[in-house]
Amino acid sequence: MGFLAPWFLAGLAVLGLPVYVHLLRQYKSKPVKFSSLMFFERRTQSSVKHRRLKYLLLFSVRCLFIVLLVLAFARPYIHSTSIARASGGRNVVFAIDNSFSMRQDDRFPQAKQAALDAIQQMKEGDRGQVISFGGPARLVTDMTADRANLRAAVSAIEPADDTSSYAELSRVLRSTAESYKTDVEAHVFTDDQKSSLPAAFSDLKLDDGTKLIIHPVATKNIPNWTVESVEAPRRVFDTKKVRTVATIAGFNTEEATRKVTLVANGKELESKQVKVPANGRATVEFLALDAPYGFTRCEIRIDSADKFPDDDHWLFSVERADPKPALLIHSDSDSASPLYIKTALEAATEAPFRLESLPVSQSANANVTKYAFVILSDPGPLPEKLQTAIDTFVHNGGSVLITLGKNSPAGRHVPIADLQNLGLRTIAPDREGVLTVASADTSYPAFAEARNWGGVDFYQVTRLQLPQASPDVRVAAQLSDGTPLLIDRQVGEGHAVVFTSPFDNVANNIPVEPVWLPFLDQLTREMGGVGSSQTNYKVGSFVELRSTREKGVPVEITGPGDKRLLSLSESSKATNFQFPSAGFFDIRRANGREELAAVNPDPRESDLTLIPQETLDLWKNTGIAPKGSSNAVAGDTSQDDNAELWWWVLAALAVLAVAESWLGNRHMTAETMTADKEMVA
Amino acid sequence: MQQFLDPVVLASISSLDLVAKTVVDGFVAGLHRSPTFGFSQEFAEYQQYNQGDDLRHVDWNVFARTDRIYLKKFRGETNMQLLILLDASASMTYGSGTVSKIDYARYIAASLVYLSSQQRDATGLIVFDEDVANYVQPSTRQGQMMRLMHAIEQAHGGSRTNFAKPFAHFLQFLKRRGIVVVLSDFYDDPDVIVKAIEPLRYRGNEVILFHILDPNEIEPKFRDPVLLEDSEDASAMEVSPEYARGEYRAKIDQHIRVLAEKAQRAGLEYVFMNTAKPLDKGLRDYLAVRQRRR
Repeated sequence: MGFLAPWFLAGLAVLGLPVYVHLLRQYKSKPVKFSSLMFFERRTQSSVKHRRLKYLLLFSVRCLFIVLLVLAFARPYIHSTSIARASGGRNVVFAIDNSFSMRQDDRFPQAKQAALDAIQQMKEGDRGQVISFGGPARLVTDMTADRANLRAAVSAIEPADDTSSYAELSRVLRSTAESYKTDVEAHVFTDDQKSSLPAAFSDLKLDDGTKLIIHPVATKNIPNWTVESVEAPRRVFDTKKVRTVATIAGFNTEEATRKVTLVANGKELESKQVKVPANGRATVEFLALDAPYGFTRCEIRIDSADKFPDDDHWLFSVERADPKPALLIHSDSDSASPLYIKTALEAATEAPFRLESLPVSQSANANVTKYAFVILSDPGPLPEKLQTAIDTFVHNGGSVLITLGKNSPAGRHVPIADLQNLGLRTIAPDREGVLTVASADTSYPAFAEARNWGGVDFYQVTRLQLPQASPDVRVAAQLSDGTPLLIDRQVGEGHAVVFTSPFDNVANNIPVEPVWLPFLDQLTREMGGVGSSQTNYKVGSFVELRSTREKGVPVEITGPGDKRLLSLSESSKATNFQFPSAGFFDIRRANGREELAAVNPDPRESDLTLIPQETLDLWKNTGIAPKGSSNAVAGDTSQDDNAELWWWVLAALAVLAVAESWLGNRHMTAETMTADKEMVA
Repeated sequence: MQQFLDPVVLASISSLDLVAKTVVDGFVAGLHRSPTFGFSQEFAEYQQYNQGDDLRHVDWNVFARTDRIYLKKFRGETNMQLLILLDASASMTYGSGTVSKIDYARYIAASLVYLSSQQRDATGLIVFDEDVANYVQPSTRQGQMMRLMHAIEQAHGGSRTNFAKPFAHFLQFLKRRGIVVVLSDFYDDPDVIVKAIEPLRYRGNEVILFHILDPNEIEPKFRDPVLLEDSEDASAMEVSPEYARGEYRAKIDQHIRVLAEKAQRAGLEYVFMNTAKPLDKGLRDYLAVRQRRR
């Protein structure tokens, strides 16, 4: 039983009123004068008792009336928890941390043994549930009284490479308490890793009635060195050696010199000594990686000589390939834009594209499907065949960049993007001032790094009529007069990117400004499908396997040990895949592209610093209050299961009101008569 | 006129002498007798001479004719002496209605004073509680009635009742025989009361005891248990309605009965008066006694 508005219980202080009236004031009442008591005797105690009994009856009625009135305001209810509690026995959750850090020394076997011991101590009628929370919390069993089942479940839990999260554990405990409508005793077997705490302490809030008992398997901070990160290009397109930078971190460590080794395809290429400061980080650079064509399985190792060797290496993959061809179609008279664009693409780091340019008059038979993307640099009217080919190319997932200038006819639709051309606007700088970039959406990949548009001036822009509130159209940048500068429209599975000013250094000065290179590099990488491709992942992260139009096309994932990780049905239906462990994963996507994903544990798991005891105490205290008490979690829907009793309390109040009136009336009448007699006397 | 004998009506009259006049005039008118009743000098009877009788009352004409000595008696040949003993103890202040016992006693006393002054009787007053509180010597002097009225009006509730001590003093004041009227609630042992008053009778006085009680004393009507405080000694006692209806009534009835019996046995006239009843019964009894004395 609980109260939805318990603060009204303070009204019980009003009980002092009837106590005063009946017990204190009663003894202060004046006796009634009588002429002589010579004919009265003192043997009248029974009648006195009778009188007090009657007064006490009225007193009790009044007290009960006040109590019920206060209760009605406090809105009492019976929680279904009470029913569950009445059935007897505890509901015990055994939560076992099987995160990567539990691989240190014998932490994990200790945790399992402690869990088995706790299960052994379950009493008759107790029910238990086993949870593992190394990564996403997993309910290994249902709530059951079968100890053998619980023991088997604990024994079956294996150490994982994922990251534990106490916030995730608290969420599952809250959910469990809510599901079973009962108090929960949670035994948590973990290494109290501080890095597993959430940023906000409120995420640790336990449900009311949840008793948290932590069984720590680590008692002190252990020094540990690890490879925290590795920077290396995912793909290389030239013949140069790959530059690799590794970061070595020490947690709770003294200053020390560690040996760092670069390994490629199982072969040690180079080793270096690096001095790692106390509790600090150091970087080491390798230039010896000469990756062959295709994927290379690379690794950075350290000789940490600490008690946690599992985190002493970092996997990464490098793919060497030829640059992809890209097609530029320009007007016959335009020679500036091919020059600027080609120069920019070749100047990019690890240039992934090789630009082929064609004047529009020679492009009718161009096979656009072999190109990573197509650029239409203000070409004017396109040959119908080419336009159809590009349209098909884009609908199938390709991308096209269209710049608009003096060759784009006003009043007609922009090809592919299907936007109405309202005509070219030429700025007179001496009268109107030049146009500049007023806003750029930095969440758009092309503007993520190209942010300095201060010196870029626009003299000619093409005005377009954009569809109203279309989800396909995204204006990524606008000029100072509000004219859209870059519009991205999704066409089929691909994108048509429209830039409303040509790259000719006449209509604007972009090609000669510093922002030009990062802008075009990022834009073309995104269009060519290079920018978004990621090959290094953390354990527990997801990888997208197919797009919506690739339904039914099989995908393939081969994990460490050459195990196929997808069943036949999953390979044709799964849209994404979560990496369950560290290692190299061969991924063959639905579009035919192959990828070698290097998966590493989260570096936070290498920080074995313990949680301060006071933090653990605070965490435990969040669930101490009995279920149904006032400090319920905000937004808790458990009240929906409460049977409110205020209606019954009101009915009892009505009955008591009648009883009090009747008794009080009799009492008042007697007192009035007595007072009259006293006045006469 | 009978309504003017109602104590409730009399309570609305502020002046005590006016109360007395109202009562007596109304009472006498009700008797259909002359206001000068008992005031003539007409012949009453002959009484044989006994040794010691006053020779001035011998009818010598009868002696001459019959050679026997007879005394000639006349009505109203002598004025009576009336002494009113008014109990002004604290218990007399009790009253459940508009008229308390001492008010009622005042009305009776005032009426008697007025009545006796009309008959030129020498009237005196003693107000007492546990001692003599006030004393007005019997007299027929001018202004005596007003002195008595004033003394009656001044009588108020004093302390507790004690019959033995004041009555010992009364004996000193009684030089002539007459009528002694005692107005009290007689809250004492009947033996003690009679023993204290009896000596008055020995001196040839006619003694009338007016036993004045409130209706609530005779028949208490408590609906609920009540804490009662004795008006004389301030002692308190919780009393249940059941006790008041049962045992108390039996005790007060027995007290009244025993007091009446013992008084009659001692030759004392006993008149029980309920303050809720008219005053005429008291006056009638007084006049009957006076008639007998004459």
